[in-house]
Amino acid sequence: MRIYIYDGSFEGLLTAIKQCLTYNGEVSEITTPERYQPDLFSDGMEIKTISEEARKFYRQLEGLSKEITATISYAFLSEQSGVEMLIYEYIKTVFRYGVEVITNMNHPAIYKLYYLRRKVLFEIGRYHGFVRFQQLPNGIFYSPIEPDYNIVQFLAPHFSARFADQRWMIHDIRRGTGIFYDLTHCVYLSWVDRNHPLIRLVLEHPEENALPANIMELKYQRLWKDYFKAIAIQERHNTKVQRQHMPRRYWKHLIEDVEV
Amino acid sequence: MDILDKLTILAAAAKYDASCASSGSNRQNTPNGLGNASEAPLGICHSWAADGRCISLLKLLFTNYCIHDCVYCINRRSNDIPRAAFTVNELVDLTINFYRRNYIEGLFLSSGVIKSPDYTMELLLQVIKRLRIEHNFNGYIHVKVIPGASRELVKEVGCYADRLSVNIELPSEQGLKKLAPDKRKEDILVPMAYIGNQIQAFQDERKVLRSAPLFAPAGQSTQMIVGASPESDFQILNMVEKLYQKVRLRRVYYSAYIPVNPNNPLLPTGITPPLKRENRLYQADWLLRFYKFRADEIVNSDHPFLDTELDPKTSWALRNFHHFPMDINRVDYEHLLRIPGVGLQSAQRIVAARRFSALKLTDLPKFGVVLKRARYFITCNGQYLEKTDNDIYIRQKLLAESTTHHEGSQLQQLTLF
Repeated sequence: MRIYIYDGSFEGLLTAIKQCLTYNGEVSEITTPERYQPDLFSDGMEIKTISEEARKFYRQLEGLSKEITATISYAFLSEQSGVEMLIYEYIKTVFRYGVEVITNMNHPAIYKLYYLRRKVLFEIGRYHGFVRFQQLPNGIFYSPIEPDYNIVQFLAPHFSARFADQRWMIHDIRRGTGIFYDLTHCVYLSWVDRNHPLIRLVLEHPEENALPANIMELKYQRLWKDYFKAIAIQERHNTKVQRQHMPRRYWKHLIEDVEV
Repeated sequence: MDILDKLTILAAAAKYDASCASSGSNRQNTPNGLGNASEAPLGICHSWAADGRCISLLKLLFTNYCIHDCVYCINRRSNDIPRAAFTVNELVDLTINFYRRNYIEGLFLSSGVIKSPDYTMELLLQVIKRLRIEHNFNGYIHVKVIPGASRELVKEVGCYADRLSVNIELPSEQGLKKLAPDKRKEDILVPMAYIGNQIQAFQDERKVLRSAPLFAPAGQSTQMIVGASPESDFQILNMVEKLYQKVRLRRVYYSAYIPVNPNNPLLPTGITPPLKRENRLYQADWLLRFYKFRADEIVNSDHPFLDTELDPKTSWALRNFHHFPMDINRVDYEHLLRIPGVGLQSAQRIVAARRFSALKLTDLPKFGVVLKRARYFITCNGQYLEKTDNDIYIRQKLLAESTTHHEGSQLQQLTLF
């Protein structure tokens, strides 16, 4: 039995899985150095990420079906513990039964990953609605978010297509990652590099209270709050349904006052 | 008047319009444009108000001044309420700035009728033209057609809007005569048919020429008030079925009557809004549009009203027990859709999965099947979960479960996208 240890990146995982598939014994876990706990019966094996190999493997899977690569990419970003093994089982199942098996929701390896992917996609869909931009004094539209899953990069196509004529940034403040659109391209940012010129653009305004002293911005926020109140029909008051669709954890970064 | 006051008055005046969809358009962003109505084929909800209804579009009246005196309407001429009117500039500015902050998917614009239908329609046209032409706005725009407006105006509005709607208001001509004396049936049905034909014509043209202009690419919808007049669900659903088939409406919205104008002898008094009935109508509407049911299967002259206790599909199944039980491994997709507790997605998953191996009853929850409801209606390789054809027993069981499950939430509203 063997525990595979990879560096936590998607490419690292693909490299590790590629090797798992050629291993004859039982793979007991695929994990990262931080989470790795040696156990008596398995030997730990550290995997060095090989980018080219990972990419080649990805293209091979994509060649079978884009559904496969989409499913494993989305599921990976759920960051749920044990997702590595689920992805491994999924790929193993595909190789064993052929690509058609991915429509078989009766197969445990298939449907577990499918539902994980659904959850991630659902949150991406939610954030298409829940992102709230505030215009900073330097003109940039800035939105802090705190999603459950690591989805910020998947927001890029949607927002680039629609806000093509304004500069904007979406910032996952919990993970310290973000995307910035500069009127032509969307770039991925990591807050590890605090001196990055794009990050400085926003860091001038501390992200916790990024609220600018911008009268126009405050005016539209005020109007939106007001609209939010005025549009509710009192005779149909139903905060239970409201909360089902808009759980409390999302309220913090919405402009509207949900509670009143 | 301050823009904040206007917004409060004219949002509150528009809130009774049920339509919230931002779906179905294929309008893409243009270079240097703002907005993209095609990115979200299913629509996007940006928030949910305290009544549990989603906020997708900025829903506003241009003005709540009105020359009509419709009995059920909050904005009727004879009501003594605060009145306001936007300017074209104000509306355009609000829409653009809300959109840029990702508060909304676009604009839903309706209005009280001032001076004349044409005059009012002209104002709405100015707003959306300004948005589309000056601001390169490609977000979603839904415009309410003012009954009585001229064809030329309606056609021009359709060239800029994503969706048009003419409110049918009440489900029968008698209701309309009694409660909306200034509106004539022809003023509603004629433009509806006209829009339907135009949409078709433009679509045909697009099939030949990809660059042909768009005309209301997200189609046409309508709305009616339920519970203000005495029509049965049988009448309503029959009419709705015709609207879907003949005028090819995308959606019909039902709005539970809320007594906004108390003490009117023409209106029912002392009632709470019939929200449960509205909910059941939406469910029936789904059966018509997605589950291939006919209206006369859901309700008929013996059962003119929908069962408020059970959903329309379960209620149909109990009345038609001779179709059941169905074998999950054998019946085709259309029949799967008829089983209570089986939805579109679960039916698709079942069909896909049983090509690999026969299914067991215990597999079903994986596909999203609600066994609580399905259990009485299915078999698997001759096995039952619960063998009974006693519809009274089933009804009692289902009711007992639904009260423990949704205690106190009898007024739950359906999610509309």
